[in-house]
Amino acid sequence: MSRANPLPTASAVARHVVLLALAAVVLLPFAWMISTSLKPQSEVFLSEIRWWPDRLHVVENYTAAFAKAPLLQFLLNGAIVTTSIFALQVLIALPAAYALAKLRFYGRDTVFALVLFCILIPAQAIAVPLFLLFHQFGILDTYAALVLPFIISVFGIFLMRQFFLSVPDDLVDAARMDGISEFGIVWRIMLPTAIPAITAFGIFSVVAHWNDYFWPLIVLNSESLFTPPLGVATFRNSEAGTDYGPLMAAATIIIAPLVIAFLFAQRRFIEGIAFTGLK
Amino acid sequence: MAQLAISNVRKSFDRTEVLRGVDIEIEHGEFISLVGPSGCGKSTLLRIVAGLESPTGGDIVIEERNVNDVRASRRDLAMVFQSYALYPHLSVFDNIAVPLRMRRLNAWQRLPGAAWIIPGTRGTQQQIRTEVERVADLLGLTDLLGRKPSQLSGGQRQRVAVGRAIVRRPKAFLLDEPLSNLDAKLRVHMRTEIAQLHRSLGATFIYVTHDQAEAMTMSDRIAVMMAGSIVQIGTPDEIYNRPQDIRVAEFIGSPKINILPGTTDADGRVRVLGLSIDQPVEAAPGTAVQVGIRPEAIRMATGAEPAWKGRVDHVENLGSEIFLHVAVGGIDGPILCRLESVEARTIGIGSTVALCPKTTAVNFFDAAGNRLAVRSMSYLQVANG
Amino acid sequence: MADLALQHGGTTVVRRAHRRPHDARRAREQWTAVVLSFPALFLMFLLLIGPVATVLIISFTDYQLGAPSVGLVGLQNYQDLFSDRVFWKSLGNTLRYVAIVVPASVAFGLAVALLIESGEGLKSFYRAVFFVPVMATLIAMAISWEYMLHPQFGLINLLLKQIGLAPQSWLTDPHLVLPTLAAIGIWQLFGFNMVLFLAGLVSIPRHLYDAAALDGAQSAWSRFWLVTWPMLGPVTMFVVLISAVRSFQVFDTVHVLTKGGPNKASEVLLYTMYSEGFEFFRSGQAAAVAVVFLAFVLTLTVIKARLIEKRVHYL
Repeated sequence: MSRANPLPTASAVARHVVLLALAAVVLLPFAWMISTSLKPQSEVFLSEIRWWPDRLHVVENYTAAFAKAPLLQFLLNGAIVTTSIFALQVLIALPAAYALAKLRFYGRDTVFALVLFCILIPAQAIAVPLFLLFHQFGILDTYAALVLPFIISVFGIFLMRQFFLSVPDDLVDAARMDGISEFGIVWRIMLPTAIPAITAFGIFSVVAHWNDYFWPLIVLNSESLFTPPLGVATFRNSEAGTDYGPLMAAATIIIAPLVIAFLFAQRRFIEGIAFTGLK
Repeated sequence: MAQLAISNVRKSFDRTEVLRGVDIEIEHGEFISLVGPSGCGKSTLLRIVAGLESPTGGDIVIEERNVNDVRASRRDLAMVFQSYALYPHLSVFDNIAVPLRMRRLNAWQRLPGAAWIIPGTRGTQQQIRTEVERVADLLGLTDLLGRKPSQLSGGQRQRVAVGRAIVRRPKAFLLDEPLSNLDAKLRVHMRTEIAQLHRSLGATFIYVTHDQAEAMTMSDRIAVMMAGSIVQIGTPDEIYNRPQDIRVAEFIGSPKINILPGTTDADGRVRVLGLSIDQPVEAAPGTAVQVGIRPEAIRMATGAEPAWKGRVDHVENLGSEIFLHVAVGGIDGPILCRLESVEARTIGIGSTVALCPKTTAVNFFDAAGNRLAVRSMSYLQVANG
Repeated sequence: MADLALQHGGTTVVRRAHRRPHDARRAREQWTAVVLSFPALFLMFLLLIGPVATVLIISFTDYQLGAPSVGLVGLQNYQDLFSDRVFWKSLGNTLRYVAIVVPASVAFGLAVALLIESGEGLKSFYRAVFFVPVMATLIAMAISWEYMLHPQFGLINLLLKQIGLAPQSWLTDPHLVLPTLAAIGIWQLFGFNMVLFLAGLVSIPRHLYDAAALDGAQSAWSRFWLVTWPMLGPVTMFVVLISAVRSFQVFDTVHVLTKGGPNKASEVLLYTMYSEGFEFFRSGQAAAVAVVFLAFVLTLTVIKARLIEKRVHYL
């Protein structure tokens, strides 16, 4: 445990051996997925383990993936939906969080209690009424249906309120004395101050909604609106275990954006998801 | 006519009375300190003056205009905060420029690129630049204008906060414990800087602190606050030498004043621990009196004169002076006595010493802690002047 | 210094603001707060609180999407549910899934965190590797898993064959399907738990280990029991509850890999709710399942919220 007593070399080696073995197991599905995405059909169905194909079929598989399904459209949909959700979440949560943290007003405790209560509600439990509501509005099978349920992030309000509590009241008072309006304080002072918290929340939000399968599955019909998970699942259903090369290529493409972003900013991702995941 | 008048200001949070009717009149150009222990209401009072808090009752009048319903930003006061409250995302330049931009540019002109589109913007921006640079020069911040607050030391941040206040040329400066986040050495240095700044600006300063040394060293006048009321207002000299209340006597001065129990005799002289002090007070014979004697007002007795005899418990050697803690019969705590190093060098712990007060520097308080006047009886012989 | 104005938060001050509407500054602050929090409050009612109330109401009706009339049926939906073998199967499967995933992912998470922290090299590398499954799109990975679990050509069975074991039909054998899904769940979740444990470990003051060593806890093992484990206790409680909530929500892998089969062997609560509500459009039935699901998840989160209130000192 203690860093003060470095382990003897033998146990240091043992540590690496165990961890590397575990890492290999954990990465197996990724490795196998990528490996398969390089194989021609004839090498997919083999009765032996072959990590590197005899005949490389990269170009064929990846072009096939793009040809059989509008993968770029799925990725674009994912980007549109996640950024819209995040932008609206901040737009709505930030002023409320500021009010809860820094203003004294009648009903503040009630509003905060409601926020705490809403954090407890799992999204899946209210899928039925939301579906019916959107059906009433006639907005099923639209981008709006994908985005709307998530624009109110009570967890975001909670998180930013906690962050604002740690901002000295003096800063708000200084802004008031400098002549900045309350609205200006929210966007010109609190927003830039809260960038670390907002980044963490943003990573959490984007990852969660990029990967969300349940809600898009319920509200979407048109393939042109599919988000990445829904797209790749549909791809698989239409291919039903026949053409694994292009399917694995498609899966690789779908996970690539987040995984690559993660590799570039591991620390931020881990902090963002771990710390916001405490909800 | 006072520039800033605080009259009968009261404030309560729920049932807790934080301010119980405070009155202060502040003259133009005056440096006044609000000093008192934590929770005495001094910061709340300052925030009420600033307009950041509303009083439960009473009025704030600035230049004969009642500002009770005027917003903080329109009172033309500048405030320096304890935590400096610098905008963490803005450079030093921008921090200082904010109050000017907010006042002189409208919302459209503050947008990036407005200088190319809206007439007059560029001129105003140029003006703001000049003024910020002048202030930065005055405070020695010129080289730091491009930095962010996180890249500054405590003292530099403090200066930026001051810069942001003076760039506005406000009617008065409000300073809320501005030095309490600095280390001891820098605090002493900044004390001088702020006092000099006050002299060079000639502006009104209202300075809140719990540190009596800051109040003593910088102020024209000090208002001592206790439990939501002002106990005494006066010059540092008056506050130190003629405290009107025993709480003031105890709060001001470090180390603390000695408070000894006494009783008046038939002549009004006070007998303290067997020693009679030759200063008759305005009190009936036999009244219990609290006698306050500052450590420097106690000296070593010479020869056979009547004195308090006691054992030295502890010696604090500060180099230039020495504090003796002397245990004397009849009281619980020791008597604290300040001596020049030369006269005390030979006194060791455990030795017995004889002490007596410098009679003219003794303060008398009644049982409730109010100052007792000394009878002006010049015919009485002053024993040891 | 303590500023009384700050110490007195919330209600007390607020009540007076209400009593003294003539106080211009207070009134302004009240108005500002209302304007700033209104959008959030409105949407909270429209998209969260309203739907929760509605799901309760719908569960007492025979509502079906597109049906001409709606009627209150009282507890009929719940009676139907509780007399339905599939529902009990679904609930049982969900609880079994949770019972496998939670202990395993917590234990793995803790073990890996301890291993990583026990030495110096490659810390952030390991941390990143074990975290990848947490954020990689689960649906895509489920498809990869499906291929790996393929009875004939799947990597897992090929590996088993190499070491002389019999291949299995992982996703079609009723006895294996739930543990198999649970394994995928563990694979996906334990990296998350590891990160929480790492945070907990890092915040244990190092001088405690020095003190333990001076007090005679010489081996790493004894230091673990003397310092690490007690200090991690509250974190562990958190991790257990978070894992339970997460695994209760299992749906993606079931929907893509098994559709609840074979013969309902992998039917779980959310999948039941999904098929009732969005395949058969029996909204009333689906709402009743949702209420049961909500009851379980709420219980878990309320316990967790209680823990947060107690302010675990290092999270």
